[in-house]
Amino acid sequence: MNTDSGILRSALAGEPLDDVLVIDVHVHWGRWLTMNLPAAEDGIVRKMRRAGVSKACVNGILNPDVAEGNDQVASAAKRYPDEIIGFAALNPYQPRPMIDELRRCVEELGMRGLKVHQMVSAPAYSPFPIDPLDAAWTQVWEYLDARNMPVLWHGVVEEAVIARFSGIPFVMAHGLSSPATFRALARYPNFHIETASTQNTRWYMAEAVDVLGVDRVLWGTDAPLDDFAHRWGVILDSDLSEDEQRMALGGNAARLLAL
Amino acid sequence: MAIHPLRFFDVNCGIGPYYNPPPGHDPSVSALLRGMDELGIAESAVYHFQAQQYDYRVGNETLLRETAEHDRLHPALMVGPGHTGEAHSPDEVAALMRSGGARILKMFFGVQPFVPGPDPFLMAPLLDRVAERRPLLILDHADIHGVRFDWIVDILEGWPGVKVILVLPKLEYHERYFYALWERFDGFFLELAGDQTMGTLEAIVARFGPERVVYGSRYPYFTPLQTMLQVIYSEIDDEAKRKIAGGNVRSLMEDVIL
Repeated sequence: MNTDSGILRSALAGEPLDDVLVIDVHVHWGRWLTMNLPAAEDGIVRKMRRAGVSKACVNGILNPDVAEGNDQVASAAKRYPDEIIGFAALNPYQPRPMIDELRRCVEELGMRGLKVHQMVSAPAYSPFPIDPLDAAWTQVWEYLDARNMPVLWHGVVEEAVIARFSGIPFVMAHGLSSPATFRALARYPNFHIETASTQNTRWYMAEAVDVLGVDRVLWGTDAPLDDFAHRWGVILDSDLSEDEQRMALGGNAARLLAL
Repeated sequence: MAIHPLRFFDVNCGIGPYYNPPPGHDPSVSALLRGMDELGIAESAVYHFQAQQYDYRVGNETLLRETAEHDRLHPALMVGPGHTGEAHSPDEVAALMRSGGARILKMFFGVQPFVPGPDPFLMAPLLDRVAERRPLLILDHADIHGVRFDWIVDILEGWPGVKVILVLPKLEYHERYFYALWERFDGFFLELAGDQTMGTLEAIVARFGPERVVYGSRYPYFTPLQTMLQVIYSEIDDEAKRKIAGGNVRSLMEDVIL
């Protein structure tokens, strides 16, 4: 642990990290199943301000009506323009072509990336297997590739997609806790990981930095399924220098998002 | 380093060798104490991995030996049904509590089907023997989704002196059970390690007060820092934070009769 880190000191003192650009790349908007989410939606923004989280990349993937979920995210981004960055959600099972919904999200709603989730790809949930290189998905990737827009993926994306669409920064959700995967995909410069759900932080972070370099590690929380301050532990209980902590907490995300 | 004003008491720390440590992990007491100092953790309740993963007796004896000289470390004896002799008998547990100053008992289960959980039918002899001493009983289920809440209800009903602490809960999955338990029992507590839904700690404190939750880290599997920061940044008052950080556990420990 870098006990000289001023960020760590501020955090232990309970101060908002207002002098650090903190970007959470993995935040959900809306409800989920029957889960009790006391700080969902506007509560997320309240918590961001309390902790000093500068910006959050928010998606509406939890809503099975993806267009409605995307509209909810766009509404949040409109109400909190300095804090909420919209990420589109897509679902291949819905009648509207994915590319049309993606265009709407980017060109009309101002979204800056895409979130894909295994709820549309896992066999337990899906009536047919997803082929991430079929015509519909290929349209999606080509659109994003041309704009260098990031994809936060938890399911759907496979190695062949990362290899073929090198202009897309792919960010593997929960990737820090999957060292076998990040070792296997490290050779693709557009492959990145984020930190949500990782618990045994020192070793995982050291391994990730060794394999990928710190510039491909991004901070994510899966909020509101987890707490911002709780998930700072993954960055601050590591041997990263303070500059490296700043990169992981937000600098790297800012680069991918062209902020 | 200058730290927070809270005197954290970590109820969930393991020492000694275990099956799957990350490279470079130091399983010693000195490493634990060093880590506590780095973060400003005042005290910890400690179990020994050999008692959890190898042999109750070897692990507990090693635990008591290795923690004896450290006032900041409080031994958590691993216990189980003593019928066949692998686990200590009820009389042996009572004797170890007194001789080792052990106010905390712990059960780890669920990792394999043959590792017994806190089935009240099996645990009755031990609970009958120690309940009047009002020990803390930490329940650590390897698969939290397999927790038998009916067993917890039976323990709380049958042996009301025992304070049950469930570690590594998934609040977002089992919160309804916890609320239902708190509506009926004063002796049930949650430890906070692991991912917790945003705002849930505040919701619990608002509904039931700050006395039902205790800080724990699941060291060395998890970093102690993450849950510390969750408490430090929580939207509750300073007195509630003080209780959750360590005040609640200290009060429960003071209530134990050795």
